[in-house]
Amino acid sequence: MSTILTKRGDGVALFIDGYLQFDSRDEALYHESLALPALELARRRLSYPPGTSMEGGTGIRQTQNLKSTDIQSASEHVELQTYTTPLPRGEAGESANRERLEPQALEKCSGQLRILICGGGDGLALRECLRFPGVTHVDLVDLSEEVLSLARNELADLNDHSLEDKRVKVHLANAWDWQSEEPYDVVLCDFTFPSSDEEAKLLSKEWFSKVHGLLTPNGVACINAVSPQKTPEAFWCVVNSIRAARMNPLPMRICIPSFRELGYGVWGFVLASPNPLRLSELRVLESPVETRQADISKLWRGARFARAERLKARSIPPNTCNAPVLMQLLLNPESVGQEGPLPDIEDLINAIPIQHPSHTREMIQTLAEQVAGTLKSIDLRRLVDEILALGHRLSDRLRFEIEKLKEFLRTNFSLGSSWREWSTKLFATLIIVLTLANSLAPENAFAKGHAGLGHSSMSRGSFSRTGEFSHVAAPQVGTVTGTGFRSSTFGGRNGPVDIYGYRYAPRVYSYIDPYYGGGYYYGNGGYYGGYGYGGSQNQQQQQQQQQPPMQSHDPAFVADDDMMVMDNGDVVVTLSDDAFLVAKKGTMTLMSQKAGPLMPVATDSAMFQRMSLSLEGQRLTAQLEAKSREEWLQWTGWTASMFSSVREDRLEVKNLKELQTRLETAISGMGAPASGAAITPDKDATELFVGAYILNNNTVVFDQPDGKRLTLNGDNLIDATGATHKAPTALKQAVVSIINKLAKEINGDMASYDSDIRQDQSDLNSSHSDLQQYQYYASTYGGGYQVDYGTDEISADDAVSRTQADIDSLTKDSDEALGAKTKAQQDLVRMQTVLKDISDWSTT
Amino acid sequence: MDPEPDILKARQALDQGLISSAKQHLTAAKMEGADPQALRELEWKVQYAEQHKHSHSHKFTVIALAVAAVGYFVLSFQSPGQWTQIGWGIIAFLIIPAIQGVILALGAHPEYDRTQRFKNGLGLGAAMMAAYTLFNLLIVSSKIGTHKTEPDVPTVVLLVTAVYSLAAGLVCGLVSAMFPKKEAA
Repeated sequence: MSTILTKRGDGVALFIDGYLQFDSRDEALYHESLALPALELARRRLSYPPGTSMEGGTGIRQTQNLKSTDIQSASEHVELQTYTTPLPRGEAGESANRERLEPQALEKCSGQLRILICGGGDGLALRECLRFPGVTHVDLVDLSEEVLSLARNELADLNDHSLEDKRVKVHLANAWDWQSEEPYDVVLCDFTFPSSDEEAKLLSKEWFSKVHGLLTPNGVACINAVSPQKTPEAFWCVVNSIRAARMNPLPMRICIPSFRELGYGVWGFVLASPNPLRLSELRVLESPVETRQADISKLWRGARFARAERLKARSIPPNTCNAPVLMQLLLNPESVGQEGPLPDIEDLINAIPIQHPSHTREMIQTLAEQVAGTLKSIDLRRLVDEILALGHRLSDRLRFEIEKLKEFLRTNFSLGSSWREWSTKLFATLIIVLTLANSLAPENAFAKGHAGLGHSSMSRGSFSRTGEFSHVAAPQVGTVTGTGFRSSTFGGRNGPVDIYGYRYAPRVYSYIDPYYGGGYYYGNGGYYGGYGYGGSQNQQQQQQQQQPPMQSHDPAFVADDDMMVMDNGDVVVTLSDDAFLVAKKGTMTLMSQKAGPLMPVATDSAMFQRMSLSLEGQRLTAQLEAKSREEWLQWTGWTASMFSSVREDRLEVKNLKELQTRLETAISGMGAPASGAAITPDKDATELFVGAYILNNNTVVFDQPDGKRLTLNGDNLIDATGATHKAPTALKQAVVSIINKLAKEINGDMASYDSDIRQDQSDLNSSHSDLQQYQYYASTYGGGYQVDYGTDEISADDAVSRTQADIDSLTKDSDEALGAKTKAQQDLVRMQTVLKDISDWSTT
Repeated sequence: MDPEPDILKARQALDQGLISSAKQHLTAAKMEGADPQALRELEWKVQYAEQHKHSHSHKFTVIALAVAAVGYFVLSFQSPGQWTQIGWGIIAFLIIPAIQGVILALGAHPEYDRTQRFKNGLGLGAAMMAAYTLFNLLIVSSKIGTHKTEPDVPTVVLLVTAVYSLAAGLVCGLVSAMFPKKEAA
């Protein structure tokens, strides 16, 4: 064993057999991650055995929860901190760190921890154990006298003279042979990287069985494994070996900069215990002692492995003494479970196993490629021709055999070797050709250009001026997935259907055609005729008598959440259970389900255009859907007598064509408002629906088609001239029902804003923490230092700027959500005030 | 007896692709005590010809495949309805398979009998039609959202593909079998 301690300006690094054991710049990260999670898990298990609740508490809180009698007196007490930012590096930094740490946190817990450290003769893992509360005894077993000597001398300052601690017994022995009558709460395996099968025994099933025997049932082991990034098969082999020893492994990975610099990749540790060990335990882990570089509370992040990685583990055998596979996996990653067709030359080169640790894949590749290159350069046919040219010197028999070879080469190495091969190639060609054909004529096969047909509500306000109709998007095929069009009755009493083919609950809309008689009725409150309020009593009565009885209409098609196309082609926008708008001939009429027409409301040409576009888009979608089904039936129509699905396809085509007709009727019936009609809403007003608002003074105003306004205030309805009339009950009921509906939606929005804000804050905290870490790396190792950024590896400077951009974006999002929430709160208050007033009116 | 005429006839038969005839002359030559080396050479040639009997028509098969691919490629530009159902049926089930059959027949090995040629035509015609039908049906069906929940659809696709393939294969096979047999050179 060769041991080399290199001293550099900013610290030391220990190499054993050429492998880096630690670099003082980041050894704390390694040793804290190795020791502290296992110690804290064991401590918690002593205090709170598995099965009792440990959730929701940090290490500190749990320590505080202990009975005073359980807590042994500590020689010194320092305030515990759960997490520290990285400390400055270098000798000065380490000195400062030690000063901060020397008054050790010796707060004891109810249990007393017995620890075994196998390997780890440098005393650094031991140092971490000794500063952990409750540690009463540590056995350190190491085979290397040289390393132990280093730990007592050159490394004594770095390991805080841990080998001289009274609680420690150092044993110069082979860990394999170690036995103890009393079990341990924690076993740390800190061996060097194996370079032979013999050394790999310390990562075998047999060794882990010994560790199992040395642990208490709730004890925890932490094993320094291998890299899950560079040698994933070997890493999972270690995990499977632990599992084979009937222990429960919890693998995790940690990025150690000095290891990364030397190309070792992200490093892996495995926590293990005879009792089940869950990721949830790691999630709530907090170190009761101050850490210098590791963030114990975030270790769980490294314990999450992708499903593909975990699945890969299943095919990897455990490492055992009888069947040692670990070295092979370490030297030849990805050599397990390779099956399938014969490999090509590159695969063959990759398949040549590396037999010696000093050999590299690159060496093997270079050598093999030279051989392969030589073989490839041989022109076999030409060689045969040349041999035959010299045929007169050969025997007849040999010449005959070479002729056979020539014939064989001509037939088998020309265009292809077999019909099967050719048919496969041609079949593939045909598929490609057909794909091309369909690309050239997409109409016949693929529909492209889908911009998405949403299915969300038009917007808050049910039918607000700013509401975007989600169906304005380009029509697309494949939209109809529901079975609403596949039944014989489309729309009507069965309930309307939307463009997706989903059926909605039936609802009947009762109203009078707003164009009948040209007047509007306000229940008992008076008559609104033409565009003036009032009229004589006789005129009112006459007008009422002229109105026909209310007619019931079923919605046939749901154009958007609130917009319906009725069976008679009218377009209706639902505002609440009691109120709705009818769009017809370029006008919009507010209707009451019980009282009929309430008043005309102002129309906006842009809004009508959007509605019209939405309907037109859905008409085109229906057309495309019908066309695709017709094409299907052209192929399969003759099987209709055998298959119900084909019969339903026919029905669907019929219904989709009927829908097209209805939508055409709706679009033409809806018309367009007179040009120039546009509404300018009051700033900061709360919009109820198009042209209806709650103003700051808590009055409800209705914009009229002639540009004038009606104001609902108290029990009064005030017209544009300032004349006051008694507000009709039907109008008040309609307003109350609309506000109630809106209030429900706003409450939903508020919950959503709250969730967004919480999420943004959480992301911001996380980003700030990441930023701090990246800045630390940039300042310590330089801006070009490569760091993990999500799944990428980028420079620290780049990571800092990207994280800063994330923070800016998150801050903006958070501010926007906060602003929206404030506006929603304001709207709610106004609505509640109006509701209260109307309620007061109702009772008076 | 002089074995040379039989050796010569065997060689001629081999040149014309008539393996059975070549075998007969080879047997005769053996019985007449022909030169062992000449016999071995002929035996090997017969053996080789038998092994490569099927690859003889390889080139024509490839041409037939290519013609069908182009035909169905053009046919895919429009739906059956756009070609008019009758026009589409004639092209897909008669013209393209018939052309395939003729090409196959032209390239068929002289020793292939009608049954063999029918089988070859059936296989090739059915395979191309199956590819065309299956591809188009899958594409068209994928555009119909309601088919995702219809358990019948795969069965419909398979049945239609099978029936159409069989029809095209029969046409191709019959044309291949009925086409005048290629005369030996």
